[in-house]
Amino acid sequence: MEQNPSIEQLTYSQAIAQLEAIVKKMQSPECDIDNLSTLTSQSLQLLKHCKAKLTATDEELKKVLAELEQSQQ
Amino acid sequence: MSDTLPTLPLDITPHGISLLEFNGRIKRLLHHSDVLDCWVAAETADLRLSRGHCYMELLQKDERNNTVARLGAAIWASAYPALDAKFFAVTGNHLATGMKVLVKVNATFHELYGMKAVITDIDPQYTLGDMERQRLEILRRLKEEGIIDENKALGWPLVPQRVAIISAAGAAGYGDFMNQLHGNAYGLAFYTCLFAAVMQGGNTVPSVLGALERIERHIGLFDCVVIIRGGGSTSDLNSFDNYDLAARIATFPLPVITGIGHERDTTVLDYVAALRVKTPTAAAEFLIGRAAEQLARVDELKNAVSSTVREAVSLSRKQLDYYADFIPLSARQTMERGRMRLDQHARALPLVAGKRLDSERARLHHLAALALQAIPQIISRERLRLGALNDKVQILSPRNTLNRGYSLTLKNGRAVTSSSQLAAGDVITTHFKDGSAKSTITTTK
Repeated sequence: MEQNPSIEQLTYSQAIAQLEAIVKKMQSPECDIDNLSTLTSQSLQLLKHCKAKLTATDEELKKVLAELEQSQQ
Repeated sequence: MSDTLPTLPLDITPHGISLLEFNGRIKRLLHHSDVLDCWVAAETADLRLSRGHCYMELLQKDERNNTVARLGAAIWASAYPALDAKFFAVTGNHLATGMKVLVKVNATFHELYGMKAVITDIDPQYTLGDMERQRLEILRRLKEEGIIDENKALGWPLVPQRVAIISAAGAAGYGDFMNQLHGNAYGLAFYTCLFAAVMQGGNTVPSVLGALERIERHIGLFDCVVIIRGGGSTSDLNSFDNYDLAARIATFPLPVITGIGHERDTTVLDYVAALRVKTPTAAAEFLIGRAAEQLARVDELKNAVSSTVREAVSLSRKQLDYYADFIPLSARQTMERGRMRLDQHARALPLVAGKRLDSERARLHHLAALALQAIPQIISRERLRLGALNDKVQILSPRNTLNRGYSLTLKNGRAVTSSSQLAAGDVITTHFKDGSAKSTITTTK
């Protein structure tokens, strides 16, 4: 699977799609133990990114929206 | 004592009556049954509450929206709670400005305050019917224009986390929404931005349209729009039954959630929005639910990764264990098989060798017999061949050649076959069938 140079740049939708594809590959009978190691590493990075997208606050976006709200008043 | 008091001016006006008297006459005229307990259809305007009384203007407009009749009206505080409850129970709305109403009125005239229609009853079905007629008309138009389902067709982003909110800044509903959303139990991150708007009264439509306009200018920052009303004491849902607003929401490029209606009532905005919820809290719950679904999906994938790796490692370990057990066993079995084969061969060898010797011996006997049979035949054949050769030798011998008239010339005992062997002075001997002659060479050519 073509590895995106920076997982950090992926949107949630892109990351979860990549993650699902990797998990499918990992579960395939063709996946040997050597590939499994690489895929596991990739999947862990994607899992971390997806979870962060859902739960970690993007301070930059928060600031932009706060400024926008302020400018309305 | 009474004849010392001055006479009141009212009583001394010779050519007219006092205003109070005149107003009193008007008041008496209004006791006519034509203007008492009369059901009147009108439109409300400038509705306001004051010290428990509800004041309003009753209007009638022509087809061109020009006001053709107007009368001040009131529902006294003694009647207002019951009438309002009756109206709300049917329409889901409180009495408000801009509604078509059918009210039972008494024309009253107060000497000081003038003419007023006192409302004693109301027929909420009339208002409901008119509101419904307006709504149906707007919905029919939206449908005809093919835009009624456009916002619904947009689809939701996987995680609508960036929310543009249209609400009155201090509205309780806005507060409820924000508390619910940002205090969600999953720790999900949401990003909100309030685009403040007036949510009741005559300015509602332009104000909400303005907020949508501002959101569209920053469209890339948001996943969805939430329109929240709630908390106000005087509901004015009629403002939302507006074609311009409904059309704008229907065609808005982001999915819109409306939380402006009443549980038993809807506005046209509820028909065009991607999602209609009953309360601001429900709007927050919807967004939390979508994000929580994704959180669950991520957790599922995490479990899938974990179990896949565990299973793969376990399988590999089992394979290794199998080979670890199998290899020595296999080696032992191989050696055992080899030994058994060797034993079999060892046992079979004398038997096979004996059989082979017997077979070779038999073959030898057979060959010897064949040889014995062949020897006389070979001798006889060779004898015949010898005879033939002897005949050929006899025919080809020099003696026979001399007998046939040829001669043989020798020089120093060797046959002369070429003149180049001879030189002048050489002595040669010529043999004939019956003798020989010596000659001396004089010349050669």
